[in-house]
Amino acid sequence: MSKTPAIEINDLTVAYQFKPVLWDIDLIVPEGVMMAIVGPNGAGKSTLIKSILGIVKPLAGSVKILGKQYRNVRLEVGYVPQKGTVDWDFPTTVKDVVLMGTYGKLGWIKRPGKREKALAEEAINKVGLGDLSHRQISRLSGGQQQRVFLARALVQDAAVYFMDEPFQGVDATTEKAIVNILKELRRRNKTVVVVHHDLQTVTDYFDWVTLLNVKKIASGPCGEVFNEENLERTYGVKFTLAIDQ
Amino acid sequence: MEIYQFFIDLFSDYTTRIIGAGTALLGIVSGILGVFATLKKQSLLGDAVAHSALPGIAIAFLITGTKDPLLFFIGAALSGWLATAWILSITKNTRIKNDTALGLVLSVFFGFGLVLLTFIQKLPNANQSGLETFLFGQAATLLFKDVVTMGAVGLMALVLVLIFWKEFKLLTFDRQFAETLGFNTRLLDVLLTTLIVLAIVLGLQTVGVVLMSAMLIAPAVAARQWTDKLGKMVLLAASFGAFSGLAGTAVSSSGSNISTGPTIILFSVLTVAVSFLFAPKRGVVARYFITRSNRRKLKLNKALSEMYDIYRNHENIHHRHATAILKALPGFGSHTLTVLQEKGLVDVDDQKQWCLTEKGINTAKHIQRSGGERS
Repeated sequence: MSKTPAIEINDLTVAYQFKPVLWDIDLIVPEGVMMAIVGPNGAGKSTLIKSILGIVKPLAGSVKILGKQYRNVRLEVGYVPQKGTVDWDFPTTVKDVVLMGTYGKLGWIKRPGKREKALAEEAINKVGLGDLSHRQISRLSGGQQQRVFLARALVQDAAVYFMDEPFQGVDATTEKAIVNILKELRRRNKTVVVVHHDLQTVTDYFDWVTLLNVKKIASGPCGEVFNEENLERTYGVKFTLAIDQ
Repeated sequence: MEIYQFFIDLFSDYTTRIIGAGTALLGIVSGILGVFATLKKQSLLGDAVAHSALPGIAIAFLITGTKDPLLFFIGAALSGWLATAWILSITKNTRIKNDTALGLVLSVFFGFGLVLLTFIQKLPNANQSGLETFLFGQAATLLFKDVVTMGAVGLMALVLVLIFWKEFKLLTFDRQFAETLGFNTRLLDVLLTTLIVLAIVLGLQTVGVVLMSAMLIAPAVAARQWTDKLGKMVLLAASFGAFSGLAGTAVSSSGSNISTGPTIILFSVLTVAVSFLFAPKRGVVARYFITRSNRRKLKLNKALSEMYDIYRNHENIHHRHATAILKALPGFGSHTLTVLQEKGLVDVDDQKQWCLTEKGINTAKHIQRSGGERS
């Protein structure tokens, strides 16, 4: 494993209007880990991802991905936004949305060709939507829509993935599909950062965790930092979680 | 054939041909860009741009003292664009919501435009009359060179949309994702908004500031009813726009002195109404029939399943029952048994005793397994 961390964040501070959303975050994520970001609502989890990706402009601080500025490694980064950020009544099909994952490597003006379409088809099959690739996206269930976004990220063929609450409100089928994709990404030594809400499954799905509440509470291997004390410091209430060690 | 001859006669007139060409072009350009405006949830921006163009037109006249359409076009575009930039920046930088910002900016610009208009009318200048036609438009004033301008701007818009098709689609669908991929979304935004502003300003002379936004929205809304694909939607919107332009021109030119702009708008609203009613899948009529047929199918499935439950309680599954008994079952109407018989699912003998056929039994089993989804 190379010594350069997948993600290195120094002194990151982000504010909307006057209120700080993230305060002085230092974070190092080694290459090849599956990391969950957990924390209460309004803790800045999505904002952390968005400021790493340059969607939100930070007040101060620096972010490096694979040792470089984000704009120099864009093609190595994949993104699964929250499902609610787009209008699913948009006149387009599953395949068309998944193809958008190839737009980054294509660059300006060039259109997707046979190679890109084959990649999209493969990703659609991987998330179990093979029969629905020509379906209009509003005629999908919430879980299927989430899998469309996942497939779109897969065709980006990135080294580092960011997923914003992919497990939010999905059924068991979709949860399983997402977990299978996560496992495959782990096998291929990708780094994956996931905003996650279900504390019970953190240790099942992830090997690394960051506890966040405006400030970074703790970050490291699940076995070292995912404990009741840190959870209490993050959420401000007592936890009696059964954590497998 | 008579209608065909009517159009031949109508458009054999030079002026009508010019107006027809102009309004059709306008319909195409605003149709195409209207698709992106509505999908970006910026339909009302068109209305604001149109109203905000008025002071630009008045100032262009005040500065130059001439009524050159090209100068008006530039003045209108600049002031429309300024209003757009203002609205977008208010929305982005304050807590004021987009619709409120639209209302504010629209009234400020339109009010200022009206003030300037009345001021100009009182000027001791023989040249000033005619500016007020921009309020409701006057297609009759279209000249050949105006149509050439429309064609040039329209062609440019079309070419740009084709070149940046992939980028515009991505920007309208998922702006943040576009940003993470490294596309300059601000540049794309400016480009697309400028094209929308141009399309609107292009129509001011013909349709007027008050009604122009309908030219932008109506074809897109109508087109959305017929298709789930962006490409087809754009083609359809352009066709609906062209149709409205031509039909409006035809009706208003066939005598009776009806003004062209409002007639065009009426036709584009008509395309919306027809699409809402009759489009396959999304149309009101189609949805009514689909729902009705689904309900009937479900009701029939339920009836068959009830019947199967009773027969299953008998040792012989081909046991027969009288009509009266079956009609007492939930979900059985006066025609239920007849319809089931027509489908070959039940059979009746001379004594009016009913039984399930083999096909009926198999279908009922299938229905009970799948929860009544299919028959």
